[in-house]
Amino acid sequence: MIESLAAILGLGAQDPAFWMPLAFAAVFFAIAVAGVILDGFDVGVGCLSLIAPRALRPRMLSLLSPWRDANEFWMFLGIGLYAAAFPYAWSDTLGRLYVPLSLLALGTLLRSACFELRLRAPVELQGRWQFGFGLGSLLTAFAHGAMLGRIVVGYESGPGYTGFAIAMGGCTVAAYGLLGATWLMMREAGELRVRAVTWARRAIRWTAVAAVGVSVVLDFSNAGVFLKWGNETRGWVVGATWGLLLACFVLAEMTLQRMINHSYRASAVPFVLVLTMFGVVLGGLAYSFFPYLVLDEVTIWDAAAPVDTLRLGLSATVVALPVALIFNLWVYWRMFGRSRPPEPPSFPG
Amino acid sequence: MTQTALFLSLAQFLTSFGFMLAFLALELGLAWVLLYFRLRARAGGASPWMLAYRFWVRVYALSLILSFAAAIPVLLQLGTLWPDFMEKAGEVVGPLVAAAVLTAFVFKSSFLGAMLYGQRRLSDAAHTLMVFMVAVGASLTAYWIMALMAWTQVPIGASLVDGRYQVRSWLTILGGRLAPTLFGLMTVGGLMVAAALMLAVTAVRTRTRPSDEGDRGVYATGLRLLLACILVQGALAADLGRVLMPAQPARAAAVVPQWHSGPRADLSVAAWPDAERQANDWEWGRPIEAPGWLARDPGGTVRGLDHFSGMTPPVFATYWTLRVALFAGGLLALAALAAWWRGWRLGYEPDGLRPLGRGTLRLATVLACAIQVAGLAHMFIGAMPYAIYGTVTLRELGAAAPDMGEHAGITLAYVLVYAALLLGFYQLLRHITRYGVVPVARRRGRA
Repeated sequence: MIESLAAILGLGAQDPAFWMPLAFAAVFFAIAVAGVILDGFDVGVGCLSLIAPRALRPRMLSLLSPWRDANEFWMFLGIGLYAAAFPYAWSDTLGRLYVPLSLLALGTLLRSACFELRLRAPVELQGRWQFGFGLGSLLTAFAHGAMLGRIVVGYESGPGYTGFAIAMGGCTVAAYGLLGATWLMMREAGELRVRAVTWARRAIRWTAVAAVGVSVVLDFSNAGVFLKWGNETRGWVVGATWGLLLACFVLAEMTLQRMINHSYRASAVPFVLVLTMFGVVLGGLAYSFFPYLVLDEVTIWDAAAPVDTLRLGLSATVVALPVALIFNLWVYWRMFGRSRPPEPPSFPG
Repeated sequence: MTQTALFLSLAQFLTSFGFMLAFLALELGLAWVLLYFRLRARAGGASPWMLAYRFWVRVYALSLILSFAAAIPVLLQLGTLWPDFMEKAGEVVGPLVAAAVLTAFVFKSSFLGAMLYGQRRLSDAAHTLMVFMVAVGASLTAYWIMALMAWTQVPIGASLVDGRYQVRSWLTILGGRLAPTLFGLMTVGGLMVAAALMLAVTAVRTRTRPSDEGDRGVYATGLRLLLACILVQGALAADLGRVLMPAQPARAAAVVPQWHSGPRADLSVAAWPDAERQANDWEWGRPIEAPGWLARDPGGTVRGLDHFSGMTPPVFATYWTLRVALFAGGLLALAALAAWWRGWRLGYEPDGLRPLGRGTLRLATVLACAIQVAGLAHMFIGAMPYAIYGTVTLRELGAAAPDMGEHAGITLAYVLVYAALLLGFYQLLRHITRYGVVPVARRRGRA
């Protein structure tokens, strides 16, 4: 496949002009997946904190606290990389997403600022910062979905497309809510866990709607994607993908039903299943889009910066990658399982 | 792009960019001030400097949070408001943006957590090193941004080929004549606001309780720092003018304001420029021999605003942003000198301040902020209608036809959110001024 792509472009597979954009696209996809999943449970818990009973909200936010520094960086890294590696796609992608991207910017701004300010605010003012964090999470989740809804239909405009984008936004809020709720039921026992199970059971249906909706609409709105998936020789890919997705949904629903009376040992199962779902959907989207950034219009090679700039970017990535890997492993290393309370500090003497 | 749409886009962008830069500058200034406190605490072994560090590290954290959070909207607005900016200048802008993001990432993930939450686990020397590295990281991040801003003002080091800029020399872009000056202005501006804030907070804190040694130290440090900053920023601003005015003759003409070409410059100290009549009301000043930085024809005629066939910045805003910065600078210098004179006679003792003195010190913060904001606004507005000076106008970069209702609504939402955050910052600052700081903890993996 790599050879044939290179041949279509008239470049050798060893040519930097061919493989560098490809490498950057891979890094970009990795950052996007990390952002959706790792920042995702954060967004989800934020959305849920709006509907949680008042007494549980501080605990929900303090559960997020250790990951905040790492979680909020994925989007930065993604944008930085997109600017350095694919500057010529900005007007064709970001330029067509004025409303969803503005909502995303507002949501992210509110989330980052309100969470940290709440930590440092006196108790009587914490409620409003908490609300700001929840509102920001809601906006972020909605904007992600609405963006996806606009991208998969090729940025077409019209009342039907707007409706689809709004519906996708709503379903994505549910999807992030599901991710957040399953993470919560793994991290915490007691009332919060029981509530999280209820939220997850409500959210999982709308997550299914989002997954199926985005796949079907993408498939039928673009002939190229339809052909790619409908190709007879790759029938097993379609079967395996949908089979895996269906299995994840069914298993997640079953474990959620048994969750309340279940032992604490299996409480990570729904979270892992939901992670798999997200992975499958994102992987499917990437497979459908490859090698385009805008379907049928802009490929990653059209959008890529010149080779010299890419080389510069690659060397910067080589410097930053060890830091990123060590830091992220170090931070995320205890995100599974039940939350352990912090140890009290030891005072010498 | 209609005039209203352009105005809304500009308002939206300048609000978020200004908000980010303001808190980035404050963060940068406070980072170096904190390093000073930390070093003093290490050298003397006395607690007052450590107390000062603990208090001001909170203000630092607040401004860091806000500048960091405000960076995302700025980056996304490059895509939503000026989609063709990357199309035309991606080769220059992309790497600079990525460098700023990566620098922030590397320094934040390696050192910031240890500085803010790890003091107990680190030795004294190691923690001081962390504070130093955080300050270096903030400076580097700011340098990338200032290099980008300098490049849009005087685009050297890259050439426009087929509608796209191609980099000729990174060294020229990064180290050109303007970038170090702008970086210096930003650093000194941040230090100035930090110093003024130190004075104001000390003045308010000692109103209700007697001052301790920490207060006196912060007061004296803040006052000396403020005076030094005023001097250095004056020199840097003059240097900036020497580079910028010849490079951007339309800005120079608007600063005078030279409405018509003529033999002499109509330089005024203050006036009410009226763009429709192309004349000034209530002018205070008189025609003089043209200074060297004004553009002239070979014949010696001073080029007026009528010379640039409409490619001129909005005169009133260009004129007054500069005047506000200069007048506020003068007032601030007077206030600082008065406080210094008082300190020299009576000692740097905030306890003895009278209400008028305390009020003046609080006003000094407002003045210091006004200088920076007006200066920044002058940088941007004076370069209009260009986004990249001399080649690319803002209008070319704008999105084709944003829906006016959506555009106005989103701009309003931005303004409201920024206002709320600013209010929150002020509220928290007032709270810690009154009640002091309770440290917050963040432990890895545990909650």
